[in-house]
Amino acid sequence: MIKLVRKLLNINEGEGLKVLLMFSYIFLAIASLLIVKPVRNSLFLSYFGVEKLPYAFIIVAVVAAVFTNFYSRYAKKIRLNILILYTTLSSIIILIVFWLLLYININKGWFYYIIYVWVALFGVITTSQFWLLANYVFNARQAKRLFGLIGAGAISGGIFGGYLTKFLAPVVGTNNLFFFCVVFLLICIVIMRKVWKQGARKTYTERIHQEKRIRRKLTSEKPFELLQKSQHLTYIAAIVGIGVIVANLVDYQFSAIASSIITDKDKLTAFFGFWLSNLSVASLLIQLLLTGRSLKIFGVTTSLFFLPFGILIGALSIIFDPRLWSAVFIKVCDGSFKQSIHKAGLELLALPLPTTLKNQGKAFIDVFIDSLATGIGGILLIIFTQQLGFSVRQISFVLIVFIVIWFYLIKAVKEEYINSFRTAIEKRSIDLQDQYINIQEASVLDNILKLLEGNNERQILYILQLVEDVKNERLIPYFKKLINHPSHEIKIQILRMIRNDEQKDFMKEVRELIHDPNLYVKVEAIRFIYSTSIDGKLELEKLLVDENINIRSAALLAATYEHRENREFRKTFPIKNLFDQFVDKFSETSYELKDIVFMKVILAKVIGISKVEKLYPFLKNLLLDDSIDVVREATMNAGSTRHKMFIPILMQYLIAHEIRKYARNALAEYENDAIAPLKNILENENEDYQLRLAIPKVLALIGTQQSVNLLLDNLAQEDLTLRFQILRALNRLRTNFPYLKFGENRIRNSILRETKIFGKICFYLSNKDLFEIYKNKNIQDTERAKKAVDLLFSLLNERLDNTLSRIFRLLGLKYSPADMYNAYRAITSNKPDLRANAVEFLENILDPNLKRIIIPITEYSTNTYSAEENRLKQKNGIFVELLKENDTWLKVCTIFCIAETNLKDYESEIRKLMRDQDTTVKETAEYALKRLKNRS
Amino acid sequence: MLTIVEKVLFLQEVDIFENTKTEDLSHIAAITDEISVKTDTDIYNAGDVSDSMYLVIEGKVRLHHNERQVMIAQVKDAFGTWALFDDEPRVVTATALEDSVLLKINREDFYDLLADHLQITLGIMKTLSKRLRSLVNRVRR
Repeated sequence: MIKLVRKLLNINEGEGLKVLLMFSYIFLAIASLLIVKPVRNSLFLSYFGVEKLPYAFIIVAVVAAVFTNFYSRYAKKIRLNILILYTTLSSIIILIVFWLLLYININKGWFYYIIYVWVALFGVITTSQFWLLANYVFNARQAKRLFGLIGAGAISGGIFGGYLTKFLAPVVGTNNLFFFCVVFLLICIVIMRKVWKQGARKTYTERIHQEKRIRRKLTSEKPFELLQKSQHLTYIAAIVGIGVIVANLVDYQFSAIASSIITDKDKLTAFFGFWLSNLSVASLLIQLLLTGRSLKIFGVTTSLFFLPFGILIGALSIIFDPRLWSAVFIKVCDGSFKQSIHKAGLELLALPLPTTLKNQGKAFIDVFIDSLATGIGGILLIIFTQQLGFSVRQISFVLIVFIVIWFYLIKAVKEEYINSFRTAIEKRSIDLQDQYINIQEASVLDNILKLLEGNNERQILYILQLVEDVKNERLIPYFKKLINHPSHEIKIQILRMIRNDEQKDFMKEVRELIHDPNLYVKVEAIRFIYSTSIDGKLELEKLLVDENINIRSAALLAATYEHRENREFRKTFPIKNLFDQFVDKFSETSYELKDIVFMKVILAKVIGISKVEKLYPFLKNLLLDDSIDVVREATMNAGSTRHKMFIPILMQYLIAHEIRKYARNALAEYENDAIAPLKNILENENEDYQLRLAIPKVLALIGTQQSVNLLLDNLAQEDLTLRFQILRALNRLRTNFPYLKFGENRIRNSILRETKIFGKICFYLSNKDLFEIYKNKNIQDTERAKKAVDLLFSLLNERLDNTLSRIFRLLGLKYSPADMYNAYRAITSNKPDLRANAVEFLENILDPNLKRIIIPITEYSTNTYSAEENRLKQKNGIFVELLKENDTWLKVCTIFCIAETNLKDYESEIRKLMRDQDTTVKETAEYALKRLKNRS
Repeated sequence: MLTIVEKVLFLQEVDIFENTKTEDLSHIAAITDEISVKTDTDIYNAGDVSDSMYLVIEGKVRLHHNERQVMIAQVKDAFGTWALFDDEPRVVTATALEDSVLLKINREDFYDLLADHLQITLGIMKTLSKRLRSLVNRVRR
């Protein structure tokens, strides 16, 4: 039964619970919205009548624009689950406050305006947060398959909420309906937490990383410039804008007619609830029965005519018979077409736009154009109804004028759309992750199919990915042709697609591909045969014991993928048995070394994909194999098992040149489970130095707070190279995981520590005695002495640069990393203008305490460090101080300088360094002592 | 034998390392081998596998193809540099013109070093791109 439902709803194994939770979440959220909306309308109209409605539109426009701007700026700084929790809790509190104020019968005009505006914001924020969460719960492929079903949850929630309002408003009273929303929202919180734990957290962490990278590539052009650049985008903006203005006029007509006929508040609430529900039902029916067909038959642009045409009929009805039925008709036409066919049409219309343009343009349209048009709608209503005294009926004439403009815009956008699509496919700029990709439209599909006949491999592959979910008979001849394409990537893609479509006609061609030289072509061919052939099971069994090791290995891999994705398969083919069978066969015959390596690589893959714990000891042996290829594969797969037994080996591989990259990624897959072992090495001074240096690179890949905390704990490491690596890792985490906390106090303390070092180096560099020491009369080889001093001088300058870099990296943990990087580049450039601008920028951005420390550094003001200078002068002199630094290379250069400038006073200090742990220090000290002795 | 610092002082004057920091030069110095060659000794022959580059500390080295002389590497000159960047066999023979002392940098050691010290790679790339740019400018003129 469950299987049947899953098949019917296109839900794969393991997705059921997530779909159910997300469906329930949006069902309850939209049900709440459809309760508060009629309540709001009824309260507002009962208090003010329809005259004040245009003012409410204008206030909503202004507040929504300001709020959305504020929200989008701060929302990305907070982790999504926390953001949803806080906003939902705030909504619950606000609803309770509203109820209390209504209970004490506050009856003030401003209160109803507040309810009106808040409900508008609640609607926008709740739905946008839900879809954002859904994007992290499901990957792109799942989204394309499941968002329709989850969207049905929204529509049915709307139907439920509206009908509930209709039945309950007369029974419990309009004011008490808020409590139902409170209960629904509390359940939403519980669901959201469950969903987050179900895997959204991990995907969110990974995706934030990717999105950050993508965002860095995006240009930051001004939105109006974007509109100027693209005629296509301008038309979309105009269509959206005119739709919003018309919606406001329709809403006014609907509210005016309804409130003039129904005067009782509770009855009015019930009426609004009932019709909002009916509207959702109409929307659902259109979505299910008309949207897909219309887009397929008429195409995107023609489908856009449905909404204005429906409203046009409604407007004419009001002109001829301005009664309740015509008001309901126009409202249902607007609401139902807008949420179904028109929405899908607009999404598809934007599809061929380049991603950058589309992302920025869509955000601009959703926020700015929507608010602007709402405001214009409100102003127009005030002008027409209050200044010019238009009746509800006469408003229909205004509507007709706008609808004519609307028709013109749809006609104009059609040509742009086809041109953009053609260019986008040629440039491969359509985002494959876009869940709205739907290329069933005849004109679009024609363009795509033509390109499948071309010779450009990358383009063919791109188009195949684009049509992956399209079920259209016209594609079959192309599949027939491309299945023998020389590119194995294309063959693999075709095999996947025909397997998903269960295209049995391809069996002959696929059987031949079992002998393809590429391993993964073979794997996909075997998977096709298993899932499509009548004797699939039997055939797989035969292939698993095939004499050819390549076929046998491919069959084992195919079986492993099936084992991962197919529960039924797991019962029929226990992977441990297949694995043992493969190993037994492997031991029966003697193979060449390359074949042995190949089979071991396959076995490592099988363990990593299947994650069967009984096989882990075998993987451990593979990790210690003699072949680097086997070790590399085993390392990659050890990470995906996340079993602790592999951690010590993976740690050791962090310093093995050929596999360290894989070892880092493998350890990063353990996330917090790897933190303790990594900490033990990082903080142990007796551990291998190179291994310690490698630890921050692993931590940089683990985007968790524990990882950040461990790095912050070690920010005071004495060794400069290690400290720099730690800082780099923190910077990477800050950039890729901006929601993590980096402890402001610890950063401030570290900056203070670095500024002291900066001051000390400035003092060394400003010391004239040090740099004229080669003029000492006792020196025989002045040239060599000068070189030694120059070397020390160069080193101190390098150290100064490094310290400055560390300071700015630390600032990048508190402020925007990109801003701090740019400021650093400007400060270290030779251009005075750039430096001055950077200092000015820092003056404005830094908090007062940091400003006091940082600004003098940016100006290289050594005077600031007089205290440091005095402290040093009172002590043993510069060379002793330099020799005491915990910096091996600085020590080496100082010793060399002492030797070449014949400074015999420091002989005893150098003698002490003969016991230094570092061999280069010892070697140079030995050289220096000999050199000083020879000159005496 | 040169100390590490002496090698660094020497490497500082080799043009391919002119944009490399002194500490990074100390890492390069650590992987160099100091070798002495007698007059008329072939250091490598045309067609040999390229696996190292050389720097002349003392003496002179003649680079030639059969009898045709390509150049004479003197003190501070580097030769066999391309060995660091490609796998092609040697195209010329290197023969010591007089008793010479050389610093030899093995390619595999150098690659390992580069993998650990990105700054060295950046320094070398900076030098190479400067050279390329000046070459382009010269061609333009």
